[in-house]
Amino acid sequence: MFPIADIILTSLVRGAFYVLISASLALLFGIISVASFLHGDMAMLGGYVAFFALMYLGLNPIIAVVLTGGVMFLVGAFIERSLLLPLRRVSGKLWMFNTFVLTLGISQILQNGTLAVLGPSFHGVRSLWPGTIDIFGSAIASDRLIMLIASVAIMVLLWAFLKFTKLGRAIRAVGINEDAVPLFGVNVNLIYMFTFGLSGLLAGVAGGFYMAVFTTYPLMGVTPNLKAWIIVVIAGLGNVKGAVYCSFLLALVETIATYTLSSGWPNVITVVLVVLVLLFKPSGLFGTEVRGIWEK
Amino acid sequence: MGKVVMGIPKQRNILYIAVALVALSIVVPPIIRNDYLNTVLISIVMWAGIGAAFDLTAGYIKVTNFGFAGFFAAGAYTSGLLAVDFAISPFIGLIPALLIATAFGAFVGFLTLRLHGIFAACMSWFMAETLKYVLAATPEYTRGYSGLMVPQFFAGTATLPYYYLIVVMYIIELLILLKIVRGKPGFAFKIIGEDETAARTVGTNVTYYKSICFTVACLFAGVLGAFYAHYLGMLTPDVSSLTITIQALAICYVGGRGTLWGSLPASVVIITIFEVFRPIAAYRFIIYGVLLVIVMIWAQGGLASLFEKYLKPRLTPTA
Repeated sequence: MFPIADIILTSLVRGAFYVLISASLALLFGIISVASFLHGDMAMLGGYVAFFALMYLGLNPIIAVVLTGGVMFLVGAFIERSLLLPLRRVSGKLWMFNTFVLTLGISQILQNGTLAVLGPSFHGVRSLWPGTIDIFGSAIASDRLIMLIASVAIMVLLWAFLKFTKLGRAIRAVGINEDAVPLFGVNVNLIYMFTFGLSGLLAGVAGGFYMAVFTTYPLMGVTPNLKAWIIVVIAGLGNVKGAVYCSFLLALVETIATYTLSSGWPNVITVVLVVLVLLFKPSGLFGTEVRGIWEK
Repeated sequence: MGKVVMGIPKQRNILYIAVALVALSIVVPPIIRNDYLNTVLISIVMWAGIGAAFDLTAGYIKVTNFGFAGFFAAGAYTSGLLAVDFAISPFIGLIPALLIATAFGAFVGFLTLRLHGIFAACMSWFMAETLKYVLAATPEYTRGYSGLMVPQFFAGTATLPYYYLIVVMYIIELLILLKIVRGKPGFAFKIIGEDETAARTVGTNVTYYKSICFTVACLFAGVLGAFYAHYLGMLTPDVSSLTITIQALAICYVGGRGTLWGSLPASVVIITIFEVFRPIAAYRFIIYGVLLVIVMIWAQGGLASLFEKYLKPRLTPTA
C-alpha cells in the first residue's frame, strides 16, 4: 500500500525546510555571486539561538522566531562586513571560488567553535504547539504544519520585499548590474551586507524550525548545506524562484525514495538526479541567465 | 633531481638546498631512531603529497576540487578491498587503486568540466558525498561504519619503511607533476586558469586540458589514498567526507597555489602546530578554518609568496 497522503504531507514539510535554506543560498548566489558554504551552519546557529530564546528566556515561540531572524541577520551582516568585504577588495576574477573557500573556513570555525563551547549534545524542545491535525486521513503534528505555513509566508514576504520596496529593487538591481547601480545612488557595499544578512535570516529561521521539529547540534548544518547546494544546482544557480520549486521537488523525490528504498540509498538518488539534470540541462531546470556570474 | 624539485634550474643555491633537504630527509630518521618522529614525518610528507595533487587543479586550472576526498577514498577502498577479499599485495593494489581513481576522475571530469568552474567543484563534492553514502550503505562489502581492517604494507610495527615509501612516492609525484606543468600541458593549464575565453581564442582545447589536469590530480589522490589505507590499516566511509578535502585544501592554500612544492612547508608548519598543541587536537578544524580565512584575506600567495619575497632574493644574488 502506497500512502500517498503521507508522502505528500511529509514532502511538503521537508520541502518547507529546504525552501528557506536553499532560498538563502540562491539569494547569495544570484545577487552577490557568493558561493556560500556556511548557510548550513547559519541554520545551526539559528537553531541554538531559537533554543536559548525558548528555554532560557521563555519567550513565546513566534517572538522567538522573530528574535532568531533578527540575531542571524546581524550575524550574517557582521560576517559580510568583517570577512567578505576585505576578501572582495583583494579578489578579482576568482571572487566566487574565493568566497567558496573562505566560507568553508568560516563554516569550520562555526561548527567546531560551537562544538568546543556547547559540546556535542543535541538541543531540542518538546513541542511548541502540541497535538496533531488530521488532513486527508493522515495525521500531521501541528508543529510541522505551522512550520510549513510559516515558511510559505516568509517566502511570500521575501518576494514582496524584493518586488515592491525600494531596498528590494536596489538589491535586484545589484544582481543585474553591479557596476551601473552606483550611478543611481545605491551603496553597493550596503546592499552586499544587507543581502548577506537577509540570507542569514532565512537560514537562521530555517534552523529555528528545524530545532523545533527535530534537534540542533554542532554538525547539524552539514546535510542542509549539501541539500541546499543540490537544490540550487538543479534549479539553476542563483534562481530563487526555481529554488523554491526544486526544494519541493527534491523533498518529494527523497520522501518517495525513503518509503521505497532501504536507508542510505535515498541520498544516492538525489545525486543521481543532479547528475542527470547537469547532463541534459546544464543550466538547471529553471536556469536563467542570472548575470554574467562567470565573467566575474 | 633536486634541480627539478625546486623548479628553478639555474639558481644554484636553491638547487643545493633542495639536494641537502632530500639528503637530510633520507639520512636523519635512521640515525635518530624515534618512532614518534617517524610518524610525524610520515604525515608531513603524505599531506605534502596530497596538497600537491590538490594544487594541480586549484593552482593551475583554478578549479578547487571540493570532492577531492572522493577520489582519495576510491583509491583507498579499491586497494583495501582487493587486499582484504583477494589477498592482493598492497604494493600491487596501488595499480588498480590508481586506475579506479583515474577512471572516476575522468568520469566526473567528463560530466562537469564542460561546464563552468563552480559546477565542477560542486559536482565532485556531490560525487564524494555519494561515494560516502554508497560505502556506508553496502556494509556487506565495505563493513560500513564498523570499519574495514586493511592489511598493512609491512608486517610488524616498524615505521621507517613507511617513511621511505612515502618519501619515494612524494618525490616521484613531484617529479611527474613538475614535468607536466613545465611542459606544454602546464602552459595550457596556466592560460586556462588565467582566462578561459582567451585560451579558447588562441586555439587551446580547454575541455581536453582541463580533463587531463583534473584526471591526473585524481590519479595521485587515488595512489595516496591507497597509501593512507595500508598505512593506517583501517578505513571507514568518512575517508570520503569533507574533512579530508578540507585538510588538503588548507595545506594547498597555506602553502601557496600554483607552486606544487608549497604544500611541503605548509604541511611542516601545520602538522608541527598540531603536534605541539596536542591537547587542542580535537578542535584542530578551528585552526584549519582560521588559517583558510587568514590566507584568503591577507595572504593569497601563501608561504610560497613569503619565500619569493624574502628568501629567494638572498639566495640568488643578482648578477
